[in-house]
Amino acid sequence: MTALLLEKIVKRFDTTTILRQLNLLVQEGQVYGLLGANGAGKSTLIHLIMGFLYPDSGRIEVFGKTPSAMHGQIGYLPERLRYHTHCSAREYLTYMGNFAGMRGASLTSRINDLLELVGLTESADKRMRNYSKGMTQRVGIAQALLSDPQLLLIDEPSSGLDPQGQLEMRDLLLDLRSQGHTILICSHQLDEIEAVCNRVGILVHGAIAAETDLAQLTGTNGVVITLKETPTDALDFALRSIDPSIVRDDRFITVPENSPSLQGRLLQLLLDEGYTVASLQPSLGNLRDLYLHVVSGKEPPAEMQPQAPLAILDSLLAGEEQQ
Amino acid sequence: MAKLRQIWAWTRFIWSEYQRTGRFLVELGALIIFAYVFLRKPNVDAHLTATQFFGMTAIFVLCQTIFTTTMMAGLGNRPQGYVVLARSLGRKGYLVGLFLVAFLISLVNLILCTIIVTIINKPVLWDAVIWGAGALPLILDIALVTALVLLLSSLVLSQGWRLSILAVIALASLSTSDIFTNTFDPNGSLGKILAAIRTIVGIPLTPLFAGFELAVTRQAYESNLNQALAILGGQAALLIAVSAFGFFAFERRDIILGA
Repeated sequence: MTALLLEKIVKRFDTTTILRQLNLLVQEGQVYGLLGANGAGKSTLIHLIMGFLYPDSGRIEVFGKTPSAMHGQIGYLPERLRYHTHCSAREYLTYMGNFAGMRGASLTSRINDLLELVGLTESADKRMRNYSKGMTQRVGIAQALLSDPQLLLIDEPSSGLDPQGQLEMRDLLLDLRSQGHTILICSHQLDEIEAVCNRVGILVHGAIAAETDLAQLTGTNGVVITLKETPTDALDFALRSIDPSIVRDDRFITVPENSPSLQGRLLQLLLDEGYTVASLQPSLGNLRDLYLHVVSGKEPPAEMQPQAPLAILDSLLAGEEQQ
Repeated sequence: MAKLRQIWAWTRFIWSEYQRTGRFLVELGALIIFAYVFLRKPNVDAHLTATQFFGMTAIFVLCQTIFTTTMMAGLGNRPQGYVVLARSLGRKGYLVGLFLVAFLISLVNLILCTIIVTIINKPVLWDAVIWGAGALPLILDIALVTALVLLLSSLVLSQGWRLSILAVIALASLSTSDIFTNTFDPNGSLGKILAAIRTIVGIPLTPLFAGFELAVTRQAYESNLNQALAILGGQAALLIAVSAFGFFAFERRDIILGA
């Protein structure tokens, strides 16, 4: 299911155009990383999805509804560590729950669960002004998850954090990914996006200049086999038994290059197991190369050029019909 | 009911923020100074009247309302607000919470003034009916001023709208005898046009000024009860109109909270 659809979004502030005909599609369960330099329009994009800003033109849908219809059902972690720090984390989360219409034992239980998830159970009753930046950001994650949102928007999660805090935040985001949350992360930190996301878009001058699945970028010297179906865990066991160097991430299997016999055996295995191979192509370099390539104004490879969301939806629907 | 609970939670939250900032000390200090200078009994023979009490207290409380509401608008116009606005409380609830806290603080100030004057310098013929007759239009004026100041804050209206409304208020408030008539010949073309405009734009604010007069003199209750009720009704209607305009503007504007 489509979690987030933005089509031909234009946003201007006075005479400055921030977003130009921006298209974006995020599927349910996907962790989408939006990369861009400072001032590229990442935060503006998030504020549009949250409904804080209105687009000058274009269409935004969150799970098929307008942002205003989804109000309160989108989790939001703002860019800067700005919270009401006179409260303890528990008080703050209780208030935030109250603002969302939650109360009583269910709220208390939810807060306890979230404090445990973000590792703040021990310090939940201390004033937030005494927290480190990393701890404050973890409170931010907890408040974003409070209403069990269908979509989570995270703006610069590691902004202002020290290396230890960044690692903790990354682990937390990986936890959320493993729990199946649909997340849009805006960041200018390539390694963070690379570690956490499964799809990435690069925002340049207010539009997505390139977009790709990260599995296609992780091996600089390999071949990526893309399956039509999401494999079962049983396939992982079979893959490891062929060769431990084979890496699978979702529908993408990366095989070392210059290994024709291994590739042949792998393809045979996939066909025997009943999988459909959608494509087989060399991996396309790493994210840093792609980012630098795109922000320097060069055209991305054809398969990474963004498509209009409706074209993607049409192709997905066509694929389902064929099956 | 659920929405009311959300708004009340938000109101309590801002109230705690207000206490934390320590700005209530400014209001408390101002109240003490005001009570010492204007409400205390200067000598044994001096007797305060209800009209004098309401005349002084109305000005003090309304000025304090402007200060408090400006401060509340500032508290609402911080980046911390994004996380709150992301909740189902919504934009209307956000604004109502800010309004309620500012209004309640002014109401508490009015009640404190009443208690102080009753203890230290009880006005002549002072009873609950007289107090209620003056306090009711004053409370409605407090609500009106709170709503107006909130409406005119950068949180709710854009710069252009704020300047336009302020210009209308300035024009409506111009005296017929002083600045206006000295600057423009009342019988000249420009003077006549401006006078007509002033009359038209002044109409919406009439309940505010009439309410102030009613609070201070309370004459209309005795001379013409219908007129007094019309003033109170006009104040309530203007309050609803200003609030509706505030909600309308805040719902439709891009929210860019201050740094």
